[in-house]
Amino acid sequence: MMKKCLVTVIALGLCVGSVFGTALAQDKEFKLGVLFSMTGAFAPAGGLAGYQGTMVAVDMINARGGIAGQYKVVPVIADAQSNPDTSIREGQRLMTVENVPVVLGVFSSAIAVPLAPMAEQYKKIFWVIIAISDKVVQDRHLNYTFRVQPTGSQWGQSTVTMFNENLEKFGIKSASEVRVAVIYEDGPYGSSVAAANKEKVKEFGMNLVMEEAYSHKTNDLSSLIFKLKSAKPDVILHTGYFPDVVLFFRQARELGLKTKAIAGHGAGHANMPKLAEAAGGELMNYCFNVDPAPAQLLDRSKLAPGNGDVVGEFLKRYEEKFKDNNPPTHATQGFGHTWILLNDVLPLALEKYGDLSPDSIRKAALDIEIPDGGTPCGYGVKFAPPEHALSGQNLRSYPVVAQSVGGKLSIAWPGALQTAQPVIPLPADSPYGIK
Amino acid sequence: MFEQILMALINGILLGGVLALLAFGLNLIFGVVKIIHMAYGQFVMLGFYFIYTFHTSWHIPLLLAMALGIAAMGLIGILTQLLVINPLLNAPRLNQLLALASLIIVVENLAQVIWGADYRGIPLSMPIIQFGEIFIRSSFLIAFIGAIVTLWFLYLFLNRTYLGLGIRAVAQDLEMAKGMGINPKVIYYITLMTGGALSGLVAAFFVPIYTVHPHFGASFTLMAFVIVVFGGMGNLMGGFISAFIIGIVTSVTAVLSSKEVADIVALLMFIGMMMVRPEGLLGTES
Repeated sequence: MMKKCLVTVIALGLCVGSVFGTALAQDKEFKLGVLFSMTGAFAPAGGLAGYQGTMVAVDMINARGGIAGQYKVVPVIADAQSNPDTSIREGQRLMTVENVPVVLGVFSSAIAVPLAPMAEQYKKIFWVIIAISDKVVQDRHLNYTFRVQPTGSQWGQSTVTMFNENLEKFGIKSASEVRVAVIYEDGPYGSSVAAANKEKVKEFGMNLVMEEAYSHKTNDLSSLIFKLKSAKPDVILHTGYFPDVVLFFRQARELGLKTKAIAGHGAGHANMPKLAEAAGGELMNYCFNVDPAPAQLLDRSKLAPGNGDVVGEFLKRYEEKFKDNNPPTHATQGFGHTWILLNDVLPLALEKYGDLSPDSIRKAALDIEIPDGGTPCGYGVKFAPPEHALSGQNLRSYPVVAQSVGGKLSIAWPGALQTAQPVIPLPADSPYGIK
Repeated sequence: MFEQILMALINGILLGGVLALLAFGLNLIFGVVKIIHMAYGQFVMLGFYFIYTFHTSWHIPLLLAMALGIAAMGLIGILTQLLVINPLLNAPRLNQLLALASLIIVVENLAQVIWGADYRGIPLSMPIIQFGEIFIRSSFLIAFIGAIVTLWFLYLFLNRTYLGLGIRAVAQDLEMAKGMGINPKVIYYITLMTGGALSGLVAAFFVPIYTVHPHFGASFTLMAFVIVVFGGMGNLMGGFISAFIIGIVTSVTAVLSSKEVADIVALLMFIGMMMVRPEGLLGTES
């Protein structure tokens, strides 16, 4: 009898202990600072989609029991309002008042550039999700800023390299015969991409016939288009946000601009369905855009085991939550880059360094090595060490050049990921095609 | 180069017509009610959203949607007079400015709540007008012609009707107008309604040119202010002339140098005018 009672008491104790233990695990929380432009001019350009992608990653990690099955992720959300001043205030609030170990997010480079030194000052991790300007990390030797996203230079180099590999499609033999125009918004984002455009144009010996910067808030781009018409470029390399991209396409058509190829570099060019909705689908038909591949375009069979399922779950959850079965690339970036932090870096910090302090996370980030295909973004991860000129930059990420033909997006470059041959020059049914 | 400058000149003239219409409503309200309508650009934004909603959500034909948008903005003008301006008519100028500046935030945030942060546009394939190598933007040409016709009608309204006479009388001498039996409050309502409808009209002309978002109006408010102050606050003809000066100078300078330099030149002209003639081109010293 006594023995029976003892067994019952022990069993009850174990049950209570187990329940109590689980409760304790669920009580453990990890506060994650989330800072995106959810209002203002950058929101529709990609800030909002990036935030939505991030939130799907948070949901998925929490559905799996939290970070390493121990810490529930609690997002502390702030709106950068497309304004560098506001974002600095909000970033500071997250790092000091909310005392979060990590602030992730930021769509615009104009916001990421001033925020990175602040993270350094407060010794908090700044995990850059979308902003691409080289200036965010270049020659700054930052210890607490990490960016999974490729750099603006890679954006600028990709299009020029693709055109250089397709010279025969222009009907020419030598790169020196290609007339290139570079037009860009004058912030850190546009400047970074344009600098890389020009560097590659020079490297390949192409003919740079025009370059001009403009404010993305401009209400009129006609003077720029007059100059383009006069310069007669074969290729127009354009870097802009959303309203200026729509303005460019509309005014270029009305003013009779003709060329052989138009390539955008992310941001405003990234969301083809929205561009088509706002300006008319025929205007951006056959246009190229550079960005990491959106999840729905990834060849899941080429991803490491398990990642294809993660991508599938992301697309399903995104559609359920935001009623969109064709998420823009910025949503994939928000999801994938957050996933790497929550699924790979933070568990390693816990396992190897024992906690989720900014310094442990920093060390874990520098330790991480993921080969190509090992993440839901398709590319791998290896962050540049502090002595590197691009300290904190992922050295294994890369964008692809996609082309929209009849509303369908295909990967045109690099060759290894190509899903369709690039259509060059612009056919006669494009408003900008030479008849 | 000659071709470029010629096209820039044509573009500048067309742009001037659109800017003149933009500035006209702001000028009219200041001239009559003596209130600086800080949220005028935001009203243009609101008008654009109305037209967008009428056309894309309610499937109303575009021209009718534009007419409804103009009418809706006229109504918004009346509501602004009733709810914002009337209580402030005798308040210090600073209070009036702060209240109308707050209206910017109210309107922008309201648009954000109703329509979200997305850019919205109505895709229109405008005809291409070409004379040899010279292309004229049809969207701006329509806006230009519309602006000139509207301004002509407004001129007739203000100069050939009793109501217009009443508006001008209140603008010129409020006490004397009251003495002649004119009820200024009625005139204020009519002025705000006209100003609101004009912002709706500008929005209608902007439909083939731009996409709209909640912060769309800010740059237009600034532009309208520069034109109105440059021409002389409250002076309709001054605003009309300065719109063309600014349109042509910015367009030609942008071709000769860059858009950024063109903006600098326009604002330097504005600063120069304020230093040499603070009352503006055709303004009178108050």
